[in-house]
Amino acid sequence: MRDEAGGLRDRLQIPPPVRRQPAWLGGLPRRDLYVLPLLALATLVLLAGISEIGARIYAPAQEHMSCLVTDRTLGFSHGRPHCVETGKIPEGPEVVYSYNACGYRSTAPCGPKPPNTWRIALLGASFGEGYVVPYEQTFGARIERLLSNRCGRKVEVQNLAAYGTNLVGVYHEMGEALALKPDLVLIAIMPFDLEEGLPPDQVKMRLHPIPPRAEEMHRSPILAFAKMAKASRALTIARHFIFSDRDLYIKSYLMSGENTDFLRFPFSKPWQRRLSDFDLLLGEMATKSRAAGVPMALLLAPQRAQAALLTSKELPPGVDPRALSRRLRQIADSHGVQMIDSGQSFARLAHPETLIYTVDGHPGGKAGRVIADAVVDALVGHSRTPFAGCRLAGPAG
Amino acid sequence: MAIAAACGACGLSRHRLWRDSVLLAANLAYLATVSSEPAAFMPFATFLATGYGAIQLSSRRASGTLLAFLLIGLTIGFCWLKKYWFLAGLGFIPSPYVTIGLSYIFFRVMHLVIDAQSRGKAGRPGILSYLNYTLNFTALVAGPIQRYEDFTKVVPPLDLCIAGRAAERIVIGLFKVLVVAAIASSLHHQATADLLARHGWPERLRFGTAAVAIYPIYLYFNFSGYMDIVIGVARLIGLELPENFNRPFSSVNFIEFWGRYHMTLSNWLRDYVYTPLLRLLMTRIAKPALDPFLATLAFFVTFFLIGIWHGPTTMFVAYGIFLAVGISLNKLYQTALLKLWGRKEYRALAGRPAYRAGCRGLTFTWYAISMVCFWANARQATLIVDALGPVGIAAGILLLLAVSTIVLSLAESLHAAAGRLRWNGTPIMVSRYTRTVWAVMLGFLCVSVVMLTHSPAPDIVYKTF
Repeated sequence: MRDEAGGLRDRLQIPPPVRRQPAWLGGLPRRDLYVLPLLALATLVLLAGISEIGARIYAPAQEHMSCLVTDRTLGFSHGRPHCVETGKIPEGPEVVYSYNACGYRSTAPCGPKPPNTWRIALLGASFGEGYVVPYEQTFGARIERLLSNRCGRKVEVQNLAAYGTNLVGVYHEMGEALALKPDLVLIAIMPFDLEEGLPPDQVKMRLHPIPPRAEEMHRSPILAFAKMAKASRALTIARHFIFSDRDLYIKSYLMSGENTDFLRFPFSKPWQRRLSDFDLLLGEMATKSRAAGVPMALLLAPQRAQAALLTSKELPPGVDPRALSRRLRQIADSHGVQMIDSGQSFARLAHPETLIYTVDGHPGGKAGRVIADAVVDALVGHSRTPFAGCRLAGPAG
Repeated sequence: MAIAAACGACGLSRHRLWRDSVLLAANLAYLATVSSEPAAFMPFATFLATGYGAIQLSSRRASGTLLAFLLIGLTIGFCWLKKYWFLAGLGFIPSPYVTIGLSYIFFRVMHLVIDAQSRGKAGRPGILSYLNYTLNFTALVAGPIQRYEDFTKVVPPLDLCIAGRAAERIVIGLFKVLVVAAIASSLHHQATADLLARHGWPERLRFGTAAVAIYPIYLYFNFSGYMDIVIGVARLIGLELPENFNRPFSSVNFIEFWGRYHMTLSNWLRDYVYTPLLRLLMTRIAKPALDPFLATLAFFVTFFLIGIWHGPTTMFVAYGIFLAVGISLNKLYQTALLKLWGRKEYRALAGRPAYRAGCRGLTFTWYAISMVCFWANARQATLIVDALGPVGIAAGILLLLAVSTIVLSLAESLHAAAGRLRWNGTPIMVSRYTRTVWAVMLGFLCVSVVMLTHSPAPDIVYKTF
């Protein structure tokens, strides 16, 4: 039929029908109305996929939570006894986490204290544990070596700190720490521990086990997408490079909301509440420690933005990166606890923020050295610790 | 949103009065975002009104003296409002006032006054057209400097192809500004801080060279990206702005460079300063043998003016001298070689790839050094000179020359290779499919960067058990 019809048109010399293009197309073929958007969509999908694959090859990561056991009713975590596992964050090196018979990240056995040995019980969360830091570079291991060298006597650190522990958990661990018969209890915190680690209900009910909480559900597709985007490696790498810019990082961090108010004085209401709760917990822990005849020290390490601000020539209005350490010193002094502010050591460096992982936010191995030096200098220079006489014993190792 | 509203409103009718009214509303709305104090606009408005009066006068009476008087008066008014250092003795308005885009308005007004003299009534714009031309929000802040006759030209109506090209242009511009220029700016800040902080000589040399080299790259991507955005936006509201950049770092000499970089500025100065000045000099000094030297002198004056137009401080006088010396040396070198070897030999030399690569590097190096006046004040410049020392400066210049020669040659080769890629006889890079993919990629990167930089900075990663 078509051939016949075509032939008839040819014979009658009727031109083929012309499909007129609307003017708004501007000469664009009609098929491009579908082809170009589809091409754009395909480009987006491909680009997102390639970026994610590229980022995963460039910066591999490995989850490492199988060794950790959390006591949800008491709020703290421990390693499984003798457990060893390897983990890696995209920004950091591969790290081996090994735990002793008590589940502490320490090489020293956790049994009865050997003779002629000083023992430090280190309490805290991920920062205290040395999360994302190879064991030898953690400040706990460095303190062990430095003090042993200086004191001419073996010093061991039993590291009870573990990823996932909050400050109420640290409070509950005090008994376990004192049972180790330590010569010093060292509590290691970062501002983040105060921000996240003092849930008001748990502080209030601190003498009782914590009631179990319902698991968070991500049923909303938007929340699920946000969670997926947050887990994207490409995003992590992009954030790492973008926020390596110190000025941008500080500016952006200070706009992050209430959690950054520890950098502003006077403190906001939530931070006043946190500091008051911490005061309460530290006071009760100090009472227990005093009763056992064990001195106590509180170690504070700065967060990345705080470290950067400590060396800023000009501070944004209202910002005071030293405000938190001043307040914590007041709290510690009031309970007879020695305050060790490693921020002062960070402030002497040119770019201290580079020692703290940009996206992850935990201090790296080099920061461990700065922190360990600050702790050792403070301990040997303080008359109430057993290490007071060590300053003359030998050079730092 | 405001730009989208202006685009939509402009599309409602093609009637001239409607378009002009919408454009004026958009221009005034844009200006209103600069200051909420009406008094702050008074000096700005007075300059505009004086300019309009000068155009009226110039178009009514053809007199060289009157024209000179008007031009000198407007120039002094402009310099005074911009607080040029040499007018400090007159005293300036103490309260803050709006000067946004005044440098570009100055050029537009001067162009209208000069042209009104020769064109009479035809060169006299109506008040609505005058305000839209001088205050055109797409070109107010950083140009381009458009001729009035081009501004009033009727452009083809918007269709899908034109809108697509405009959108592509905007995306490319955003990518240049938000990604490339932002990275270059960050690197430049870092290099400058490190240059002044580090003590080792090799490090100072490295950071000093990097700081000098990166700034022109930052400025080019920032400025040309901004141009891409405003050209795209202007096209969507029915205006066609002139191009301001044409791959300037591919230039093999300083004269060519200024024909490719901030083209509308150099073209304006060529037409209204260089050519009249050279004509005047050649008329007064009737010795053809001296013509190349007169051209060099005209170049010197023109580029010195370009330099001091950029800012009111003495650093911009230094910048003007750098530009003027660069362009004059370039002209003298060309004149000497032409005289020594003749046109044929000179052309053969200028066509050699290695010679071109070296000249490209030298052009970039000279421009990068002159740009120091842009990013360093006199105190910082002294600190940098002290940090590097004479040997360091010489070594840095040689390093910059070598690196820029190699990098720009590679960039040229890549550009040429990309242009040679073909599919069914059509260059791949101009295909609408390639351009769609490219624009989507750049857009994706822009959106990602903007979202990331405006998101809260990362805090400790912590998983609640």
